[in-house]
Amino acid sequence: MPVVTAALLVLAPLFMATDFALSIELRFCIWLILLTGLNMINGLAGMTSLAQAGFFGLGAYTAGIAAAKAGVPPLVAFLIAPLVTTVAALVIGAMSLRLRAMYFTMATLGTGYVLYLLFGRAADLTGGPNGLLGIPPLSVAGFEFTEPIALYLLGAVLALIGTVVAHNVARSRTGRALRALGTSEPAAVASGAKAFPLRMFAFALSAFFAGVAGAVEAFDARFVSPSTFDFFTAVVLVVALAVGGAGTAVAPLIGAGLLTALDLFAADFADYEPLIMGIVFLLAIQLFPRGVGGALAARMAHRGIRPTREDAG
Amino acid sequence: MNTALLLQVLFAGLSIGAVYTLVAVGFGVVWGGTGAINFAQGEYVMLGGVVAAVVLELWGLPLLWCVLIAVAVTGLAGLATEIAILGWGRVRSGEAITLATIAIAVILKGVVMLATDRQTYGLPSFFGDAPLRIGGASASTQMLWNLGTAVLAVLLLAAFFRTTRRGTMLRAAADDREVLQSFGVSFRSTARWAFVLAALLGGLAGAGLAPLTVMSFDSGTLLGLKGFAAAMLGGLGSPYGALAGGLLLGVAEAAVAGYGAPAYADAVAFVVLLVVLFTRPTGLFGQAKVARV
Repeated sequence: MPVVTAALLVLAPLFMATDFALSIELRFCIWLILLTGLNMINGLAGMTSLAQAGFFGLGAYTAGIAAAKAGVPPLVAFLIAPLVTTVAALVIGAMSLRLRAMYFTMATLGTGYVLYLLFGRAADLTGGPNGLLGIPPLSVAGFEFTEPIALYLLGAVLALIGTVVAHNVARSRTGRALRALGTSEPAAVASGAKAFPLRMFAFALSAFFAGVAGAVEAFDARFVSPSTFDFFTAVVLVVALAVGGAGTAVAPLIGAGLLTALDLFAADFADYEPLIMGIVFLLAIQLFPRGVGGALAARMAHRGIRPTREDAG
Repeated sequence: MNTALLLQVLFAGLSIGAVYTLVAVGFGVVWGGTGAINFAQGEYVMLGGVVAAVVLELWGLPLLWCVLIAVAVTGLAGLATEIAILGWGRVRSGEAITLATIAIAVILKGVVMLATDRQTYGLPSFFGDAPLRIGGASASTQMLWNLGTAVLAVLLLAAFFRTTRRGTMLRAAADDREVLQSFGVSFRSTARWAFVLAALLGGLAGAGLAPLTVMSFDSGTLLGLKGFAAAMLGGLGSPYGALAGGLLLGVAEAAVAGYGAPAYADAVAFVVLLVVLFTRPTGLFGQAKVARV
């Protein structure tokens, strides 16, 4: 999967390199980072999190506030963002990951919404509903990331690193233990898997990815506003991953593609977007209860083609 | 102690709390009947308010008729929800149904957005616009209607669950759906009753809310989430829990708005939700069945 991702990320800008195309490709990278992270908790650990948009925002606002208001050097702000989101996830996870899956999901829903409300209401800190302006560009050793191509490369490299990390986690002992936990918890626990630390790891990792995505977003748009991180976005992330087949390696790619397409057409069909999205989602759930990736994996197994380790995760 | 402010907060809290109660009951009913969280519940509330206002605007019918029509239309939406989700037969698990209700919620919102062109709506108070004056505080007479309907709905539902055959089946479904099916009760029929009932309650809630606050295609999401918080506070599935949870949440919210920070009033529901989940996930009146792994 990293190979496919790398190919995609390298080839796309070769064919489409206008400023507009690059900005769309960067959006794809951001979605990809978000969904790769979400796949850790939703897919691998099997616990649906509705907090990813909130963590995305937390990362973006942390980077933005640190750089624009606290005068922190942009690079440092960029590095702080994922740390803050990870800590937040650890705190929330500590309190909610011992609960049954549904209750955990509701806790993440609450967390995401409280974060969203904070973004909009703590106006002194965050700029309120109108957003935070004046984020300086990211600069590393004097080089400023202002050109679309530079920002795209940043996003693409991070997305690729993220994919590789996810790939390795899925194959590691931790990843396999998480999967076993999802399949049959009693068996996994009897074999020595510790549910709570494993889930904390997955959740914290998902938040780390969200923090990175948020930092990229902050330094790309140089502006953050609450509406980017609302309940709709949280749902859209879960939906996109579900359609892609949460838990499969290909899900983040498919999901990111879907969301980028949505971004592209949203401008023209803004009024019809919710309706179309809802219908597509409903159809997707009916047709692919396990998502496209899951259906593909099942197909391969059915045909007698041994599912390669790629398919399994 | 400023009695007038206290009473004001209380009245505002009870008026909106009654709406949360009706929403919370709706969540409980669908949860019991299908094992799913109905994310479309908030949209039913929105439908109730918006349709009532639209009917009033288009045909100028007496207010109660507008409400009745709105509730009926919303009930139909509930029926349509069940058919859209369960009709094909591929979706049966609680998680899948929950995801599907998210899709339905988005669709309902999208349809109303297109149909109403993002217009906002209001309704006059059902008992007239003259405010009540009690102890220096004033309240909308709508509070009486909302409280009355909420209490009535809770009492009727509790009785329905206890005494009628269909009600007992819904209650049994909450306990163990599979056993119920093995007794020959169709899953779809239980689900249909659950969704329609939840939708009717939601529609009623929405119609009762419209005189208190402006409504539009957008109003559903936050209402649904707050109603859900109320349901969790009271204990998902318990009608009396819904009453307690709804009123408590309404008053807490009004207190924050009245005494401190109106900007943060919306956050109260979510803080409550988190506190409930972290301390007593089954809520005030829920059975203390183990919710932990």
